[in-house]
Amino acid sequence: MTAYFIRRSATLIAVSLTAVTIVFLLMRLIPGDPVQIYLGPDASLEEIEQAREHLGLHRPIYWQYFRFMVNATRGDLGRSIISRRPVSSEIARTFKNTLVLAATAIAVAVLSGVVTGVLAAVKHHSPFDLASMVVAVLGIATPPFFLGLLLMYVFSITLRWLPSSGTGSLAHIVLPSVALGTPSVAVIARQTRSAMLEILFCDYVRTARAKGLPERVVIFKHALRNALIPVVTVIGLRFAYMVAGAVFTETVFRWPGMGRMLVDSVRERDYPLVQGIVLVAAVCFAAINMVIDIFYVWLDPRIRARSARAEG
Amino acid sequence: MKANRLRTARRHIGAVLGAVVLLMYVATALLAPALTVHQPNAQNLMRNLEPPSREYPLGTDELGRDILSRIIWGSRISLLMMLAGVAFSGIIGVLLGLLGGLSGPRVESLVMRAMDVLMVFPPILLAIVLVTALGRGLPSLVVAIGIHGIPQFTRLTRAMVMSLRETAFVEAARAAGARPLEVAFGHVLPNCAGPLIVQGTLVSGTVVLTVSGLSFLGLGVQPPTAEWGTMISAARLHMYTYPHAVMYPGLALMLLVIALNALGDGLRDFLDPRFRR
Repeated sequence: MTAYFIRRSATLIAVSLTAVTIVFLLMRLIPGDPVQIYLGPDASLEEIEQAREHLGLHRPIYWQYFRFMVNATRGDLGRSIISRRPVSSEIARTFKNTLVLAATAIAVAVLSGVVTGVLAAVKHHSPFDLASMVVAVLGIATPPFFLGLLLMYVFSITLRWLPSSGTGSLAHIVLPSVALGTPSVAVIARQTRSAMLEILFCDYVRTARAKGLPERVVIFKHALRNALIPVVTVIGLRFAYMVAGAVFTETVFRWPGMGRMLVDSVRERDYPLVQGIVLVAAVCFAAINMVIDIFYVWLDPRIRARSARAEG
Repeated sequence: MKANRLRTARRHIGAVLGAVVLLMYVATALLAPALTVHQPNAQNLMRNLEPPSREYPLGTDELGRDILSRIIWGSRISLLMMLAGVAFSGIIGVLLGLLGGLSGPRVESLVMRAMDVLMVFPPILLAIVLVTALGRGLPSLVVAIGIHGIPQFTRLTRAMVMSLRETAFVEAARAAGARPLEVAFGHVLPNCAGPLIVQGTLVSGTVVLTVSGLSFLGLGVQPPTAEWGTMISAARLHMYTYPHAVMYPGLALMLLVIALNALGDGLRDFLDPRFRR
């Protein structure tokens, strides 16, 4: 287990370094002089030359790359062109909001997804099963931004139950989290259903039933516990997507998160900020994936035993 | 067994329905000039944001353009971008998969590590970064929407190549003196066709969503071109009073993605031996 953990962490570091490199190179592809963009159209030649020197842009690219790497590991991602504040503090401000939104959305998705999946599997081929799977198909096929607008139209424009955008109260988070969580409800429900269906026909479940255990105990204590192992992976993956990709939901509901800041900074050509957000999001995405992998190994005694044998 | 057959039958119906709907979209896109009365970009500011009427079956948008015409013409750009995006990821992905599967272990691990790196980036983030770095315009948009699919094609192709390269007919072709490229394209690739078609169909749904998503954010297809995501983005400012301008393009988009997913799921049961029972 320890060896696995170390190996997996090494991969995370390698992946993060590659992500930094790719982001650095991509940002150098952008047409136009970054200094010109930084200073605006009124800057004099002298000012441009000074800024170039200050930013180290007169040095060769490998030197710039090295400095970017060193600074990034210290948490210094440069300054935003628009606000002139450090990129790291800008990201810290919005990242918190994204995390709150993603956590709420995943809670919504796990609760409704697992319940729906279990019910659909237990009442296999019933109208409920069919209906829930139709809803799942719709949930996967609906564009996330359209789903947000639909919810907004129904619940805040027509019914006037909930605020349509912004932050401030608990009611503000309801619509964005449902919008962000719904595609995941569909995925989690499907996965739970198929995992449950596989397990409900296992011998040990039949044994549990034959012993005369109540159906509730058979389903929740015997079947669901084992069915949840593959579902956990899906849940983690969906959470990673939410943290890194709540772009649409945040744009529609004007939620002050990292995704909306990314779109705004792309539009305003605030490249240091773009660079920083992509970096943080990619590292987060990789880190969450690593945690899932480790958790998965820890959760499934069969894999744990196998990796222990491989190490021993 | 009965349940299994029921499931298969349901999948078949889904696939057929998906194919029919997809064909309808293709026909609409091809016949767009004949199907529309109004020009998609013809503005009539005197009559903007009108509800559906006889003259404008789905109403007009904020610039007085006919929404139905714009949806119909929008199907052209969506289907074209879908084809281009899937072709881009499919061709590059399959070539890399063949390369990884048929050359030595060094190249193989290089290719597969590169794919791992691509998969580190969340898809929408990757698309946004590429659009930013490569500039606006259709070619960079194709790269942005297609890149996420490449690792999926590569992994699938490599997995199939690995099982095929040990088979008797590939060995026979080699023994008969076929050159490596001949083996790859003449003998291995044709046997991967089924699962690759399935993968292509499943990826195309994602590609359609990415195109409209980027356009919605203002980073994809640029106005005034009629594109569903762009239409929704412009119309949402008026959603309080004129929801129809948001709803119809959204429904057009949703139906296309549902059709593609249904077709993909059905084809998988039909063409992919791993799912055939």
